Amino acid sequence: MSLITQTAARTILPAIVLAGAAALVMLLGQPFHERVAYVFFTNLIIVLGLQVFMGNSNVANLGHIAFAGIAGYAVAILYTPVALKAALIPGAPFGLDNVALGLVPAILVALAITLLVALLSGLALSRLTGVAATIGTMALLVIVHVVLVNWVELTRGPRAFYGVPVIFTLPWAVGAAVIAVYIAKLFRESQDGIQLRATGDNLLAAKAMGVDVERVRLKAWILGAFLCGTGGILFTLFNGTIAPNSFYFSQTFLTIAMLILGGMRSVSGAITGSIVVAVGFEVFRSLENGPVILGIDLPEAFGLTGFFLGAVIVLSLTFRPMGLMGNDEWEDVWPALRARLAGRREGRP
Amino acid sequence: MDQSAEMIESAVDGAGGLRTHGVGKHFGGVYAVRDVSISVGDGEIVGLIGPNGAGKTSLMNVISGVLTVDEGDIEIDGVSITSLATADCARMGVARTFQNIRIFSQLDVRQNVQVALTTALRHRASYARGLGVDDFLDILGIADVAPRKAGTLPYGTQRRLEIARALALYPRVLLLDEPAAGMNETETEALMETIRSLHDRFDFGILVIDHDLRFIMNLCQRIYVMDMGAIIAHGIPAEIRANPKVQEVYLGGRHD
Ligand SMILES: Nc1ncnc2c1ncn2[C@@H]1O[C@H](COP(=O)(O)OP(=O)(O)OP(=O)(O)O)[C@@H](O)[C@H]1O
Ligand SMILES: [Mg+2]
Repeated sequence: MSLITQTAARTILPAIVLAGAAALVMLLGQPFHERVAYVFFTNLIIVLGLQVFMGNSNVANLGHIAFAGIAGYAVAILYTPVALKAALIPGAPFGLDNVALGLVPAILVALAITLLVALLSGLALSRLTGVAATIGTMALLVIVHVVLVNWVELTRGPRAFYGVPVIFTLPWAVGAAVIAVYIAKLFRESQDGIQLRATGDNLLAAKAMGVDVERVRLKAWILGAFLCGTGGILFTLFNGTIAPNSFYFSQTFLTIAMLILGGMRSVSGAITGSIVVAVGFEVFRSLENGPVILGIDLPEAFGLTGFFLGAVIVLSLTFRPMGLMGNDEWEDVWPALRARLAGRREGRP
Repeated sequence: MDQSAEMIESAVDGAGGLRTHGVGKHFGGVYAVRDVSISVGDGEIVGLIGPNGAGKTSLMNVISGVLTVDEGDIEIDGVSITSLATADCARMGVARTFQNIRIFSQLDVRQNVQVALTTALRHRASYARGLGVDDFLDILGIADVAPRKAGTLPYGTQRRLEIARALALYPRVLLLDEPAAGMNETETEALMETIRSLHDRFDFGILVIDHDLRFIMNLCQRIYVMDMGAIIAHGIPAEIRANPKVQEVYLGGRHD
């Protein structure tokens, strides 16, 4: 079986789980639940984008949300009708207040801009490892945020950019997420993906095996940016309103918590973490409002969700640094368990 | 074997393989490698021995681009690789293993070999002979653990995996840094057979470091002896065994 079909087969289980969850929400849930589910899927796509680079290269990345922001703003500015833009961003640079693209061209141009920024930033960042990489990627996030906030003529600055046509519904997000899972899995098992994982595992040995470290890192960086950008576009064309803070630290924190809890080394880790953290996040969000549970009227406790995310990151780094899934995909869990049991029976460690 | 090492060396002169010319490497004021000129011709198995800290590993690091060269020149098939980075040395056909094992522990055994084979197919296409990942595992006799995660393998198997991985580069020279370290007598014997089979099957040269003198003497056609960064003796095993300088510095008790 070729890698393409083999990966398709390995995507069936996550596809069933994701589509099944969405179907349940659509059948049983309120419109509010459908909203939550949609945002879950856009987050999942972003987490998968993060996994492609960070999980395979083992280099920290705190800047991935920048690409969601670039793509989200680009599609908002390109696709919002001219009449609305006259009110929102009159006299926008490049005459952008006077033109609006069709849906598909707007998305393609937004992705192209995202990829261009990914290429340029990647050329610089792919040389970095360790603390330098962490700080460098975070600097990227801050730079993009500063531009979004201060380029008022183009983005409305810190104020919300509203009136973006709402295009997508939950099934679109599910479809995109399944494709993103497929892409992430395909990359992980590809020759470049395996070489990149080798660099994350033992950098010196990878070089001694002729791996071009910067090149494989750059590829993953750009592919990850593509997925994050896709997540940003899907979010924007569903939400209709965005602001620079939609794509900043809280979103970074949320998606990092998802990846770390699930385990960044596998695509299944990204999915698992996204699900668990999303559910936990909703529980804590409802607690924030001080609900009445079992007759007890709980006080309002704003900030609980932030506390929850911090706790998830600290606890999983402390007690399960490789995340829930470790190095395994869902389909590896059973064979791995069986091998370990067999090994124990033979007295192997 | 009654040919002397110099005769063998001059026979391979001009032919393919690895050559270093007056190579030096120092850390601060301390020379780890000093004025080292060695050759490893096609199809040769050459030994490199010397006491702890003699500079053997440093020499391999310099040849494979892991350390930069301070002095001298290194060539593969007459082409200088002196200033190349590690990955480029690998692409020029320098393959190696590490004294302290450096497998990709989170990857499975097949993927470990795949990493090198990908390099070979992309950058050494003219040398690639159509062997697949499983062929290299077969050659090293570790096909039975192919799907296992490399980090879970026993020590000796990990050392074999490192060799399989290096082979998949289709090297021009293979550098083995203490491949038998930590192995028992049976394993060492088996490894020796395996290395001999590489010699029969491929045409690259092999440079092997080990502290087990019986292993080196039985395996190698020529041996270099290093001490304090310099080559202090060179010869066929019989000559090395008989060399008083060698006995003094290496065989005479300082060996661990
Ligand atoms: N990266 C380094 N920085 C500073 N000194 C080093 C470095 N690498 C090696 N050395 C020094 O260079 C000398 C040679 O070390 P090397 O590891 O090459 O010896 P060796 O012959 O391989 O010894 P062994 O048999 O113990 O493996 C030693 O004195 C060592 O301390
Ligand atoms: Mg050494």
